[in-house]
Amino acid sequence: MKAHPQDYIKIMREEIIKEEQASFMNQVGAVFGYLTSASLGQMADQALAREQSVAIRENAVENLPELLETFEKNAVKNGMEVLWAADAEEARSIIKDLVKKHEAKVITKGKSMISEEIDLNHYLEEELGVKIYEGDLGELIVQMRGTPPFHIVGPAINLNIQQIAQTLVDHIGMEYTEDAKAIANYVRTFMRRQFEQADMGITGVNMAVASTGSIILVENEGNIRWSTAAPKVHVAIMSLEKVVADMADAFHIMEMLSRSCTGQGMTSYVSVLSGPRAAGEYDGAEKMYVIILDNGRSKIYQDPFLRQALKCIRCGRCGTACPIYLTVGAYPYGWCYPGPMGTVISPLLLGLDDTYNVYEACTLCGGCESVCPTGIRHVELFHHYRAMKVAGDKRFKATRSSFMERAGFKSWAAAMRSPALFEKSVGLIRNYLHVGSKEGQVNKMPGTLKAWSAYRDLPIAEKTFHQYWAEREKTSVSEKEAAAGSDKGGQDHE
Amino acid sequence: MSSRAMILEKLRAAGSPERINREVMPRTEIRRGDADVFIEKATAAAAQVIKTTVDNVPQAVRDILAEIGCRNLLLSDEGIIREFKIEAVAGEMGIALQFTGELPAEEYRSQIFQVEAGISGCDFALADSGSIVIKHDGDKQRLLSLAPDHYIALVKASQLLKDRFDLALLLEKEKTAAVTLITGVSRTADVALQVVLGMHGPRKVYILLIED
Repeated sequence: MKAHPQDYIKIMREEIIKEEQASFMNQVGAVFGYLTSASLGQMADQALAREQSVAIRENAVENLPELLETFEKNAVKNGMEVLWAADAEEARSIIKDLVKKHEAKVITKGKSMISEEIDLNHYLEEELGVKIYEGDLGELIVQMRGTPPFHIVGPAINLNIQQIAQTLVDHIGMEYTEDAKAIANYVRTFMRRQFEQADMGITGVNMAVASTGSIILVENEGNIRWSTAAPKVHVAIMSLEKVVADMADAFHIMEMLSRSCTGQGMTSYVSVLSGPRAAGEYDGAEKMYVIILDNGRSKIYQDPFLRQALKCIRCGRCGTACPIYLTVGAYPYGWCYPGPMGTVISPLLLGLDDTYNVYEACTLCGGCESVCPTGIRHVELFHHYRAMKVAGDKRFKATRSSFMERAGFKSWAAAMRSPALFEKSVGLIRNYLHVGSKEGQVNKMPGTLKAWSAYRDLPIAEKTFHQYWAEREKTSVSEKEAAAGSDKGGQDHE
Repeated sequence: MSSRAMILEKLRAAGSPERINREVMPRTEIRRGDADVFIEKATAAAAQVIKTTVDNVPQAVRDILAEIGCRNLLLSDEGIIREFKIEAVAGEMGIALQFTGELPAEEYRSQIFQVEAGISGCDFALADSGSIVIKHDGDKQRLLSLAPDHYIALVKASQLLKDRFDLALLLEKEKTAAVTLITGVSRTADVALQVVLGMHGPRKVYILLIED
């Protein structure tokens, strides 16, 4: 999908008033929060398991270039073709060439965030006129509705059953029903026809294993198994941070991912793919391609602090703990990555100017950080984005704040360092505010403070704190002097 | 400069890597799994697990096929199927059946979308998650456990590993084009959070756990 995080406030205003959605989001937060916590709690040693997944992801990110090369070498040895794409455009053009080369007419997809990131579906449909079907039920529904996924595992989780039914009636001729089972069954039959005739399957990658040259994909519905087993060609797109050192690392991350995502110890299906179909196999791709996508990640990698953003395994558990996401929903984030996951990655991939509201809306409560299975330090990171934005960090497309804003903060900093200057400034501001005061209350302020004061009344103290303190000291000193008479030793400890 | 060279150069330019201690498992020994734990976990994932003795396997298969009301069947071309004479059991019941290995590719492909059930063995099972593990090859086709409405897996108790780490250790050493872990029945909660079983996979999964 095309990114539009600049529209955050506009979309947020539309979303925040949807009552049905709001109550549903609370349910989502509570249900997934409970399921994931309970599931992680079933592990023999939950704290150790988390420490290990943090270490595995840290190790993978620290040794990224080496692991990618090892993965490539082994994947090629296994008979896969590995292709590298610097950005979304190159990835799309590689896939376009593959579609042409293999004369693919029908493509089925396994649910994948990365293909949303590079806006693949629209591109291939428009450029080549091929038919693309998302195999995941929720993803198919949002594909037909032309909206971004609302939730990492439940792309259509914000829609009620009537909306879902109507979408399927309009797009694939289902007979209207509000029975979830009947809806799923209709799509099952519909998708089987597509899987049967598909010439190409496109999926993402959950983990790439360097030591064996394998890719691992997890799912619950079966769309990934179908898309990798039925068509003759399989194209897997992986963002470059997905690689881990070995199978044990991959399987531990797999378990942490499933538990943190849906609360399952293991998803229904896990596919470990190490090359095209073997001799004698009737299923599986004859040609298997892995596209390693950068799309701005090597730039993030240059910065040792920001690099932690690449540890994310896209489990979405942060979303269940985020008061902002659970209030405004996914759409204001303006891209395929909703919730804190998006707040981590979107500013670095899309630029700090365009995503300003995404990280500014955060309350820095740290809920996301407390549940993250890979130890991303969200709060520090979001503070950092704000600082980078103010400083005008050119690497991540930030324009420096305006002259007036900088001048304002400079004066504020100067005043905070000097008591005399502070006292003077406060006096000036008091005089200024008194202009709009009524009965000891300021209820209107000019300029940038207008919006703030529209809903707030500020009581005006009769004196500044400095004045009050000075007078209090004077009185208490004279009182004490009066009380203690000539005994001066009484004040020594003050 | 190719994208590959450019990306790797940028990553390398970022500084020398730090090694992080990440020992997550006993990496040397394979642990055996517990049958009761397997039954509990697989059942929780909506598989129907039937524990049976070696002698009782034919009867157990007969019961399942009768329950399904199965009329046609594809069998995986594995030793375990012939060992328990599954083809004879189904044949006696008048079920049309074929071994995948006896079919040409196109015929297999059309059959796999039509048969009511598929039966195969597995290579391992993971007790702690209730998963069965299949290393696919010419005798163990991938769609057999995915396309038919009913899937029956034969699992010997001796094939039980403890958990994913034991499997990781085994997979680290060898190359199979595709290994699939199946845990219960496929599912979705995409329609208003209501769980529907058997989304794109079999509607029912039966596991015969054979005490050997």
